[in-house]
Amino acid sequence: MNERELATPDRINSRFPILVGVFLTGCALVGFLLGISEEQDPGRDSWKERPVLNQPPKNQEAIPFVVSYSEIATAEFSKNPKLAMHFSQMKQQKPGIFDPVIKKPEMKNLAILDRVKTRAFEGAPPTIPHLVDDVRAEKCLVCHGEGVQIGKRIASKMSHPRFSNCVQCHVVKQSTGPFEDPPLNAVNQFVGVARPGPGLRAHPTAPPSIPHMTFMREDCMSCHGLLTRPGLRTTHPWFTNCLQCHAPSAALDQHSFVKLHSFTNKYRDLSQQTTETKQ
Amino acid sequence: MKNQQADRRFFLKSTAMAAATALASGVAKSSSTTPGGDALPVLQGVEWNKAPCRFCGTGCHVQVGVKDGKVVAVTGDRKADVNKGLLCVKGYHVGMILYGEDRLTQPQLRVNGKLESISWDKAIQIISDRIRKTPEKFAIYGSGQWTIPEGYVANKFIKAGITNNMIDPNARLCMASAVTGYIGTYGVDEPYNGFSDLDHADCVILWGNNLSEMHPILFSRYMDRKLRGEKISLVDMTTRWTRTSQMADHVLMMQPQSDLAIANCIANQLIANKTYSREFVEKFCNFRGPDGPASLKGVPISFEEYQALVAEYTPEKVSKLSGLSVDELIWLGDLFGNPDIKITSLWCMGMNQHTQGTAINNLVHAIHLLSGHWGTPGDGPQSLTGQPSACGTVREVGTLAHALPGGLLVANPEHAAKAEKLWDLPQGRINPKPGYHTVKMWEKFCSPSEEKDSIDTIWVQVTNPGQTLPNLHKLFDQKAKQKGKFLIVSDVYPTATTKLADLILPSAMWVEKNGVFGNSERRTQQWFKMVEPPGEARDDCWQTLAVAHRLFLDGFEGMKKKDGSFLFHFTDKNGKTVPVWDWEKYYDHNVDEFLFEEYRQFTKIKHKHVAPYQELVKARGMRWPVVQDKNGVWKDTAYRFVEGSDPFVEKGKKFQFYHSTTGDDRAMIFFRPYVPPPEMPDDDYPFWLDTGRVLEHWHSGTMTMRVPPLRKAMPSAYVEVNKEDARKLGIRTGDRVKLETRRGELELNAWIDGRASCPPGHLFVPFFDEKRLINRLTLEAHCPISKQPDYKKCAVRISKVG
Repeated sequence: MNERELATPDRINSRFPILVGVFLTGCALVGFLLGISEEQDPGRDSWKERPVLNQPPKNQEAIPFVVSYSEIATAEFSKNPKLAMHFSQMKQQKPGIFDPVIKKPEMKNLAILDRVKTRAFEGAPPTIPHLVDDVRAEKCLVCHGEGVQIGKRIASKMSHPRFSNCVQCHVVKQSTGPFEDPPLNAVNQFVGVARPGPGLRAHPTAPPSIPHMTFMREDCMSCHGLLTRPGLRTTHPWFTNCLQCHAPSAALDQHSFVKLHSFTNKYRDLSQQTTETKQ
Repeated sequence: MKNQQADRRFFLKSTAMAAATALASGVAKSSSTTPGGDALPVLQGVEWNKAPCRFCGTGCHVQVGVKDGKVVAVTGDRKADVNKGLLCVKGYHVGMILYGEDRLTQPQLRVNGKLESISWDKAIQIISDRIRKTPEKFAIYGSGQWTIPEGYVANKFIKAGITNNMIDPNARLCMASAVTGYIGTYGVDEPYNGFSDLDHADCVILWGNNLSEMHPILFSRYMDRKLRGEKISLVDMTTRWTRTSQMADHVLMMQPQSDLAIANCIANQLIANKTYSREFVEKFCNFRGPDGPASLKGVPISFEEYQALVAEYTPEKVSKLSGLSVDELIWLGDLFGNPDIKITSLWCMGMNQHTQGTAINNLVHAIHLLSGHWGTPGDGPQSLTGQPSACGTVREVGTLAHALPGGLLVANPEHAAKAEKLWDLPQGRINPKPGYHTVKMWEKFCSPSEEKDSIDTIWVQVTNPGQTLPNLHKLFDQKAKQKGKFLIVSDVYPTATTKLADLILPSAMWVEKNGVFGNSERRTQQWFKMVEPPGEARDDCWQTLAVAHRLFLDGFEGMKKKDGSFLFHFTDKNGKTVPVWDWEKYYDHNVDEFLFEEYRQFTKIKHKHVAPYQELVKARGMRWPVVQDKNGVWKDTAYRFVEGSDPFVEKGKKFQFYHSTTGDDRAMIFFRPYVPPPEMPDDDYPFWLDTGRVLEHWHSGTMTMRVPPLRKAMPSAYVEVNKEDARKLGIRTGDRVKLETRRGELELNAWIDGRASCPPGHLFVPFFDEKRLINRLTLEAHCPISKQPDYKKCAVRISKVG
């Protein structure tokens, strides 16, 4: 190697940081200029006009070419039909009904703690932990009508019959929108019952009675079936007539004549003593 | 050296091992007995009792779960006719409203600008002293969220005690136009029908109300029928696109105020096409026209005159005014002209908060009467009430400046005489001159005390005028600049109103006290106290009784009956006086029951018989009139004025409007003209400003903002801007904008196509946000008859900030 050959790499080496700096600045400038020339879109499309997502794409084969930077501003962007947006294309996990069920006490605790995250108390309608952009019932039912598992994510089947106005009870857990700080942030000291509690057993191997109401929980498999938190799964999902062994609570299901409030005993005696003021 | 190093290493290793073991065992322990898992409170041991929900006028019943003196769960009551076990998100979380950490627990007096805790005794004495100084300038501002006993005590306190008739409720701002609409049409107030209409209707028309967010239980009661395969439809007549529009079958986007013209257009077509019900009209109706702009009862007109008056409201003409297409208007006309379908019209604030509120109410009743869509289940007009007891307390107990309990009027000598008899008052005690309606009351409170007709003391109970009055600068904020004013506020949390209060009284809330509500379908419903209120918080009812008794002891004549005894004198079975003013003994008796049974006597006068208290204890509400059948069973009434359902309808009459204005058992088909709103968009203020509500928050958010699931779902107010308008103004979702009206201004974040969408030229702001008081911008112009202001229409301009 002679000096001249050494000199060139040295020069490049010594100016390397500057060259890198110039290059990066140039990229940044180009990107900035392209960015500000983009048309400002006032907001996301009205959901009225939103394309329906859960229909299979029409043309499976056409894949648009990637355009160059200079063409981005005027290029026609469209959906990539190869993108698997339709449920029929997504790989759903379908656990087998005879798969071995592994249950440990800590799994149950985890399941209970997980449920508590979206419920103010046992029996409250869970808040929605995901974004909602279409509030119509048929949209919610796409996942929660039958339940679905994709990868590790489970959308459970709803436990109650179908109603028409899901969002009258289920609100989003954390709203997205142009919100400011709430006008107040008072802590709420409500402590709700967080779980139904273990079902009482007549003896150690007896089937536990149902410690919660079955109204709004008509489908046991929604919480205790296959597409559910492991800690709550039944050990015997192949049986279909749950209530033949697991007794519900007449009191919680509001079938029995619930004992009237203790104040009434006091007042019923006294009310017979009430005299109307002179008419 | 080496030994030391070895020792050190050994020491480090062993401590590390020890630490690791401890950690591992700790983790293992914690995962098998995860704090929270087993330690979480459980359902066993919870005691359940019924109560109506604290929130809206639907009046769902809940089962409240109490454990260790606290509410720990809430579920829907399956035995309730109204909701059959289902609730909405507010109802499910209603148990949490009691537990915000900043509950008011001590009476507080403002001294030199600072709030100081005082005793109840002192607070009561202060109020008594204040009243005795200038009783004619004392007023009570009450609420449709008052329980019936609370409202009854306050009403008697003012009408029989203070006698200046200065009592008016916040329901003046929500239901007054519905009341005058009913009175003008049927001669008496309140829906003749109820929620069972939703089980039978083929078509429900919404006149400017967002049913899916505001009365969700009623919305789903109707719409769930579709899931059972029934062919029913929902028509959303609206000024903006809401969640209801999303789920409706037909959306008719109308211009503000054009509802008057649309209703007249339907009437016009019914007559022009001869599709009105000749039989129904000839047998059961009279025609009525207004004699001036503030005509409640109107004057008789003939059918031909009526025909001539509606003649100009042709579809072509109304289309221009309303923005509906000619086809849509013809479709509506044909709909009402079809005798084979059952049509239920529902409405709430869109029609009531209206500068022509009485008029539009009359008109919607009129088109149902004219077309014969009236009286059979599923077929008829039904006003929906917003507050849980605007019907039960305000309208039925008469806590209005001109009214007495049971639908009586102070200005009617016969009515006053009846009240004086029932209340054991000396003749002439009741003042025939009505007091101030809400807007006027606050106007007079905010004007100098030296003026003869001013108000210098207002006692606010169970409501938040500092946030909910229109034109707040004028009607509320001004109080701070006036001298000699005294604002007493009985409430549960600090609010926009307590900011200017001179005396704050901590109150018991919902199931912390006994109560009775009356919902939108005439259903009176009772509940018992289940938990203790916090600190020194006490029942509003007791507060009023205590002040009444202090006045009595201080020699105030008004608090005496004819025989000189205390106005609220009750005796128990042994003839012993019940000390209703003594808090320590307050729950030794059921004071609610004494008061309710006394009030019940009033309800018999105009056939509004409420059930006996003990019957209400057993029921999930009963719809008045409630009378005993021949077997002694107390029966409630599903349809008033309808034979077979209403026990007071004579046999063979089919429909009998026995309180008819014309005294001939007929209802009034009332003509009202289109009158434009007092303030419309112009060059300076080119947009309409609409205000309203969202599902998650009740009214001013004092309760719901303290419930985390509700607050997180809807944390703050915003302004809805139409997409095209936004594009022209260069506004994007999240941008800060300033709204200005002639009365005030407010900065908000813009939201385009958020919860709802406005049409071009309209803006919408919800009013639940205590820090973003949109009512500083609204207009207090009101219906000339009902005195109810219009929160839905005024002119505003919008500009981008920064």
